[in-house]
Amino acid sequence: MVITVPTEKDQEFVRFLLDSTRNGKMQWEPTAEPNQFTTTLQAKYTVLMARVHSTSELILKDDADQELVKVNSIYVEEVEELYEFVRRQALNVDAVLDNLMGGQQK
Amino acid sequence: MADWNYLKPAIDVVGAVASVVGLGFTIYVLCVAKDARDAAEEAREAALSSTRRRSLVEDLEDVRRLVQQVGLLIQQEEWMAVHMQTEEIVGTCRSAMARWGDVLNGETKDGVVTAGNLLQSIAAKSSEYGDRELTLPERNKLTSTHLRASGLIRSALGEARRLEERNGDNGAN
Repeated sequence: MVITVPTEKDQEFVRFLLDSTRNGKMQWEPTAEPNQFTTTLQAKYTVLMARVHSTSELILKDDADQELVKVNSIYVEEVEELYEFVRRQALNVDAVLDNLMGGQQK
Repeated sequence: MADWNYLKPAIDVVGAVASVVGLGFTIYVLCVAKDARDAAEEAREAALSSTRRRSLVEDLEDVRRLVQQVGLLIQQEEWMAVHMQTEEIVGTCRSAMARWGDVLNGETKDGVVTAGNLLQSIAAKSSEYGDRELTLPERNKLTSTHLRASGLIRSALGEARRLEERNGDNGAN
């Protein structure tokens, strides 16, 4: 699938994911591929977030594995911000930092 | 010849009373029949519901067992078998969610699908390894991804079992 200029709806979807992830409404998991994370919506749609050559990319697929939307941070800046939120949430970065700082204080 | 005319009003009264009693009896029989039908319907629903949840538990139990086997196959680096097992898991997850998915909450259903996606990512990644030995970070990455998938399936299984037990308790009460 060729990346085309994202529509207003695509951008709205990225903002929806960003808000949902910030509010902890969405559970992301790291896949076996480095720098790639996934979540599922309505038990039917899969969202993949990946970092490819210093560009963040978001792919929405349906349950037949067809790509519905593909946007990257070159066209939509928020994808970069989303990737960073997703990465931190999926890898429990804050908990790790708390643990490290807690261990240091003892 | 006896005059029976004086009996006519009495017969009318008896006839009217019999009609009312008959009507009352008919209504009573209808009520009893309706109650019996409702009870039978309820029993059938409870039996069906119990079967549905037991089957969901069975399906998820199968998936849990298959996921466990994938863990062993990863340790043995049997990538072809990982591929085949993953396909079976994803298929079973999909059919289980299509058949019984409405029983589980939305987050748990999403978790089951995510587990399938995580296992597929393991299968996809493993095809890059070929015959070479995995580095420690690669092995750790596969193992942690497998554990996450396994955790999501176990959560769904736990919820399905809880529903089954609750349903069993309701049936007992």
